[in-house]
Amino acid sequence: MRYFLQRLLQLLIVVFAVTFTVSLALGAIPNAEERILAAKGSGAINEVEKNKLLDSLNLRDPTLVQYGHFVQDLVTLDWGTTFNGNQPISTSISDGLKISIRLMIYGQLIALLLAIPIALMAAYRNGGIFDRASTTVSFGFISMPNYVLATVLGLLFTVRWQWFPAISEDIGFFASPWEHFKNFFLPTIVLALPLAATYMRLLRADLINTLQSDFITTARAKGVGTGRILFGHALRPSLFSLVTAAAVNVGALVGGSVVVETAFNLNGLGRRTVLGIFASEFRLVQVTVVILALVYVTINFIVDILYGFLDPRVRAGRLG
Amino acid sequence: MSSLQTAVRRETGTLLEIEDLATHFVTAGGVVRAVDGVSFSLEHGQRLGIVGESGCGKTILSRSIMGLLPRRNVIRNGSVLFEGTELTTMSLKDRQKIWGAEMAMIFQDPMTSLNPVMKIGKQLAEPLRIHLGSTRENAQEIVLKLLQDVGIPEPEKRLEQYAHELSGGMRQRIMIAMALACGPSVLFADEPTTALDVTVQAQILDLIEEQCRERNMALILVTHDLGVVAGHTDQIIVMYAGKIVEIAPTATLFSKMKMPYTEALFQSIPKLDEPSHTRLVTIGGRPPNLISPPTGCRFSPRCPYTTDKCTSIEPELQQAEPGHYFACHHPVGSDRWNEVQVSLGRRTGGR
Amino acid sequence: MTDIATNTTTDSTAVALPHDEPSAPRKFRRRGRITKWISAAWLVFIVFTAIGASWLPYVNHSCSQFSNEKLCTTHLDTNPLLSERPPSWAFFSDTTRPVVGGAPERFGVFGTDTNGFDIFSRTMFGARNSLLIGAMSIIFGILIGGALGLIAGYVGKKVDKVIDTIMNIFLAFPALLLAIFIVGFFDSGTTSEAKSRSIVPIIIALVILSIPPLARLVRANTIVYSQREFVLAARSLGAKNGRIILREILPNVMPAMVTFAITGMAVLIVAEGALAYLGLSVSAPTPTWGAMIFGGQAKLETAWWISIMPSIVLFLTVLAINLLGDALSEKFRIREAIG
Ligand SMILES: Nc1ncnc2c1ncn2[C@@H]1O[C@H](COP(=O)(O)OP(=O)(O)O)[C@@H](O)[C@H]1O
Ligand code: SF4
Ligand SMILES: [Mg+2]
Repeated sequence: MRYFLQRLLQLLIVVFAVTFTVSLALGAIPNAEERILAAKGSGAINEVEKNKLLDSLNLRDPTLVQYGHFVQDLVTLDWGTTFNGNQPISTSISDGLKISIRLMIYGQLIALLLAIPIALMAAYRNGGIFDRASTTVSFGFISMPNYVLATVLGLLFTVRWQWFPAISEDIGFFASPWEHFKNFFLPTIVLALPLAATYMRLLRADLINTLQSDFITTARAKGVGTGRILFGHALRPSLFSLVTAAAVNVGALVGGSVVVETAFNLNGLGRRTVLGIFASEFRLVQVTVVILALVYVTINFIVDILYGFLDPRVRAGRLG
Repeated sequence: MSSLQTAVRRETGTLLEIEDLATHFVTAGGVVRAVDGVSFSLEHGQRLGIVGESGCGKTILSRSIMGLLPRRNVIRNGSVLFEGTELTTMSLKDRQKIWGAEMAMIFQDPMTSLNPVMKIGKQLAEPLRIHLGSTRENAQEIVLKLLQDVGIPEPEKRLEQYAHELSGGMRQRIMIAMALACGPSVLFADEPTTALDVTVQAQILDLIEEQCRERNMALILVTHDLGVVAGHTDQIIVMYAGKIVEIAPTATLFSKMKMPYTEALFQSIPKLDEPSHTRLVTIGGRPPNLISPPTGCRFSPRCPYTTDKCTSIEPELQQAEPGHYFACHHPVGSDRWNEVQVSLGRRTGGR
Repeated sequence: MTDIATNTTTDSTAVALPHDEPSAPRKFRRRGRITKWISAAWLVFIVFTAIGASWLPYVNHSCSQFSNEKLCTTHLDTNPLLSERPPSWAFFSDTTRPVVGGAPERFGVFGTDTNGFDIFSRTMFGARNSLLIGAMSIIFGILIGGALGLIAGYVGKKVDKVIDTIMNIFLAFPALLLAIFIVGFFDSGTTSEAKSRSIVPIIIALVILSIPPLARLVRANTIVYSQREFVLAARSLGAKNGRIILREILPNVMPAMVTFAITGMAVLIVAEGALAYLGLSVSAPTPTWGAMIFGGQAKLETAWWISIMPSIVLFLTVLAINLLGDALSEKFRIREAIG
């Protein structure tokens, strides 16, 4: 319980620090006002509108007041509109989230589906042909930057063979499952392959350790079959690193698949934010960064608590 | 209630027959001859002790008999007949049918031998469900009975607990219960008390012995401590550097030991009934490296009675009396032995 | 990478038993050695070329070696005559540009880009910038992150909590966005203005990204070593804390730190590429690998080599660094187990 409260306190401190920094950052940007007005389409805006806009951003208030307003706006979901085009920021973010979350889920699923069986097979026959081959291949994928992978796959599958569209569109699954698949296939693969390689290596290393422990010998001596040893006895205690990595990636991928989104022209959250930075859409960027940070921090918190469920020893230690 | 009773064996005769068993590991440093030509047999219900310093190959011998060895870089030769069936050539699938059902094993460290993330009840029920196809309820009933048999208080409560919630002695009892579950005909206990508190050790040994008697189950008790096997076995094998150096019924071994190595092991047991000024003789040096063991007698570099013969000719196992064999050129009581005893000032001649 | 942090506490008493591998078979070891040497050789080649790009004979940098002045291409001079020529070995690829003025159909080992630059030379000059950015970032990352980790791990208690929280704050920001923001922050003026960006803001961004993981790793290792006898002994002899950290702990933490830094450098080189891919690297015409890969994207259909050739060099370099890092971490782990 004490542990839980400590972690919760740290979470709150981090959230405060992030929101405060983000709020402050706006004031620290050189020529913020000019840039905002430029984004708005400068000449087309009269003095009154201009003042109203800058007032709504509280740019001219003292730091603390600015922060107060920022938090108030965040909490009341009064996020405002984009400077250019006056689209509600909440709409932009939810549109982006829809794509990013979809991409994240597909990528994670494929990565885990690839990584877990491969790691089990590799660890079981540790040092065998399959282990060596899969380790080598995984090294290749870990060393391959996603923009390179996107480039190579793009060249092969869209330019040479034209199996998939070069520019992915956000076509809903229910609108047309086949088109949906075609459009999300390459981005998912580019996201999933390096991820699968990382997961596979983490799980393999932990599994090899677990398979050497005494309780596995006990299970073998009981006559437990190979499959049951792997899935029933070895897998669960070996999941720590994998669960941590996968969970952290849930947050990281939602905002961090910028490169993949850019390569395949998907308007996900990450890409919108990057374009936002370039286009001086500071409000959009502020809100997105806070959301992403919240997601990240919350997930880390959950993972920490989840440890207890994976390992009763940890649970026991923390209750004390 | 009788349906809950695990099968009690009444068979007699030979259970295990081990013939020239050798187990070598291929490593980067060379071939490790962990077990190097071991033969003996075990009767139904017989309790056998295997003794030797650590590193002598006891663990590998017992695992080699079961076939519970690493898959790669292992060379195993010789024959293991279990109730007339050859085990060394058996497939993994078939061996898994025997493990836990016919042959069970408990280990040195009960702290690490139980799965830390699986409830005790589930671990205990596993052999029953695998080998006997018991239903969950049926298995649970048997498990509760087993927990009572091994003297665990509040058995129902234990089923829902995890290993870390129990004491070391308790865990070893759980391990024993798990091994007994399917009523195996032989139990391998590999240093079952080494990791336990002195006060608990005797209880666990008594429990093992009692269960063996009740179930007419054979026992192979592996230990580095001659004191442990003394009261709990019918027969003792003394191992040194992968080989059997002496084998005898327990009483005979203690009264008429022939092998200097056995003598040294014996002298290193602290004794209560001897005056405190008696020197506690311990064996100098360490067991040899098993990649290139000494020529001749493997104990010769550490043996006080070594002669040229010892370092050049490897002693074969020879009979002292029926059932008692030893491998030594100058056994206890021989002229050479007397000579050295006198020179060491321990004895004044003759035994 | 994270293995190092956790493995320092594994017990060495475990007896080798089933499923265990006492040591890898010879065959496997030799193979490991060969990859290690190839990796090292590749890195030596790349670093050597990066340093000597301006005068090495195999880097096309001077026009004097061409009899036909018009065919001269350096990494800086455009040559429309040689625009988008495939590599000379790529018999299966043709240029879509007219072949005029006696210019060859194919050119160089890596081909030429849209401006007629020799891609091989630009890749080698690009190595200079990419490696410099990676190395500088990781060095500063080690200095700052390592110091924070040592202090947090050694002093513990409140200080540890404060540093840990600060690191968590940094980690809470989406990494790439943070980097973009930092780089963008240093761009003065409005977006329309032509920017001339140096490598400094990029290095600053990457240093900030590398501090938290390094600090955490060093902290974990420091905690382990702070409890060791030799540290306790030094402490009981009245040694000063600063001295204990520098003399007793740092040398022991070093292997893990260096190994992590080596793989970290690979990560940072890749990250620079990602920034470039998003249009945020050193401004043209200074080449970096990322900028070159990004520059060729639009031409993927007609001139794949513009993007692919620097991609291959980047991939091989990152792979080599990772392989060496892996070998190092394995080595240190073994030492840990014995000592
Ligand atoms: N997997 C293995 N690979 C190589 N050598 C091994 C392996 N397992 C055990 N050994 C070696 O075999 C010898 C016998 O070991 P063991 O049977 O465990 O001894 P004991 O149980 O008598 O203490 C030891 O020298 C040990 O180093
Ligand atoms: S054979 Fe010789 S060396 Fe070996 S035990 Fe007997 S006396 Fe000692
Ligand atoms: Mg042993």
